[in-house]
Amino acid sequence: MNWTTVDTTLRLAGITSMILLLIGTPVAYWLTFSKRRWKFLVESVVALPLVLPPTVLGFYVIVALGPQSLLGEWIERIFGHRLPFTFEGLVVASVLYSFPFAVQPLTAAFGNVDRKLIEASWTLGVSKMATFFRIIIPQAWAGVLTGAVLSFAHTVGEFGVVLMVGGNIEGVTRTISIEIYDEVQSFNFDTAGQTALVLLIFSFAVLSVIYAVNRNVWAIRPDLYREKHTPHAG
Amino acid sequence: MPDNLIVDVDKAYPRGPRIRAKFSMPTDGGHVGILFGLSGSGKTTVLRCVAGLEHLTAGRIVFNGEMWADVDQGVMVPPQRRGVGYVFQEYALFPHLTVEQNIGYAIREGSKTQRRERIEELIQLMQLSGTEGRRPSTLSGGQQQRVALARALARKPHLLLLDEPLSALDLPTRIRLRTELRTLLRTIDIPALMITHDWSEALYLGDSVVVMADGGVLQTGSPFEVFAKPTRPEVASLVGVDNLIPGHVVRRETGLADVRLNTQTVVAYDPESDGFESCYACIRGENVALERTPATSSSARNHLLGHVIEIQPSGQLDRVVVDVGFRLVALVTPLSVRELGLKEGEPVTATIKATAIHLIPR
Repeated sequence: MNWTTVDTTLRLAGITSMILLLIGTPVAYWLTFSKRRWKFLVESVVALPLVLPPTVLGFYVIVALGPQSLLGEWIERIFGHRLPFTFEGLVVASVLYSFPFAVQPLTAAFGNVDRKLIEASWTLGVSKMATFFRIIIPQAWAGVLTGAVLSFAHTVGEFGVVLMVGGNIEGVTRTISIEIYDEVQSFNFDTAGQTALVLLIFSFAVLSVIYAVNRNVWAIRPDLYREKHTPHAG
Repeated sequence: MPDNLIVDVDKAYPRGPRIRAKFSMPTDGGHVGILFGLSGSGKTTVLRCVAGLEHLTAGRIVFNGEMWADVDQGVMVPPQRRGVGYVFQEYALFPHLTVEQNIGYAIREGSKTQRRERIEELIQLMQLSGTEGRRPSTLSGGQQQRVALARALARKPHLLLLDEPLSALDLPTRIRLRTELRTLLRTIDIPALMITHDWSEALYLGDSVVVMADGGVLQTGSPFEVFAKPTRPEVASLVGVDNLIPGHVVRRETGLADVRLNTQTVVAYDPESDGFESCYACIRGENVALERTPATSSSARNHLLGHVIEIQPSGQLDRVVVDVGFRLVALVTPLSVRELGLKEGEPVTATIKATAIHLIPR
């Protein structure tokens, strides 16, 4: 295991899932509660990375962030450097690529919150924003956790987009999945095998947590489980 | 400033029903208005419009001179700023908060001690002592209902909106809480608009009634007035009139009318309206007395000879269906049925006072 690569990967995944929670939450809220007729178009855009080949997404990110585009030019003026083949560029690409993995669990969780609870809060004079933090988030925390964990894990496991946008620069843009590819190319099957096993175990652990949280609260919060299943007194 | 609530609501759901309701009710002296009707009649939509939870398609809502919604002027005061207390049908208590936190959820003004005192006051008022730290899911239905009321009252609302507050309870609890609710509504001096489909609740709790059916208002008035003198056949059947017989007026004289009902003529109280001829005769089953031998003298104007068609036991009273030239349902105690020896096919005399026959123009 190359710890520089592990560090790069975890930093990338951590920052990506944090940004995704910040951006994804308002988007998911809008998708859940908006009554706009063209909502399905936004939903489709959000889901695009699920079906798009990573190379296509990576290609557009490079073009959009490159010096020929207005956006790229503007970014270069502000940050002093271009984004392709940098860590920041990788973050932008990862955020786009993992977008549905954050937004979809959030949307599902917000949609499952009893609408009456939200309305009750409104009639009690509590603003929409405060209602979101005091009612929706406590009711939908499993979805928030799922969104964060899924986008983290998905970023750890991405390959094509990282290669397209980040290149393969050690300590900057080389992630675990790319390292495994490199090792296999160099016939270092032992090292590749070790790293692959770590990723396999990591992914399994992540998915187990998510399924446990969403299926059965008891798995991690026995106190909540008991309350939910106490028969009504009288 | 006028002390009333003016509701003129038109709400059309895309590919759904259209609800139109127009009524007003006083808001002084803790007036309790009842929205009465079967499910699907649009009652909840009207209540949600008043609360600000629905946008109107057309119309307006004015509370004590304050414009809450007016489609023409583009006014829509959000629910947060209407100062209403809304009690949802299934209470909608916050499951992740304790009883205390639910009640105190909206109390923001005052120091921490003042807020504590207000919560304590409400807990005392609603007899919830001992449940402060419990979650809603561990409470009985009656306790949940009281928490919902306490939460709605916490911010001292200007108007209380109650969506079938008793319907989720079992019968004994419902009757007990009905008394409590009446005492509460009389004590707090806050006007209330309450939905029910239970006529006894409307009579017991309401100062005025708005009867709704199929997305529209059929009749408004005091509960007793609507109960005794429905103006529409639909209202008559909603308020539990057992007999609604089509007929026509053949003669009018000094406040009384002779009404032809099928092959029989009865004398009814004449409401002195626009001289209609086609009508419905409304007769409550409990106002029909049955006798085996015709009374020789009686103050009642109608003694109708006929025979028993059917006897249906239904709780405290039996429904005895008789044929007196038209089909008539009488409500009689099972004891009377036994003492009179009523059986199918037996002859019987039905006695009805003229004032117990209410006529509705047809």
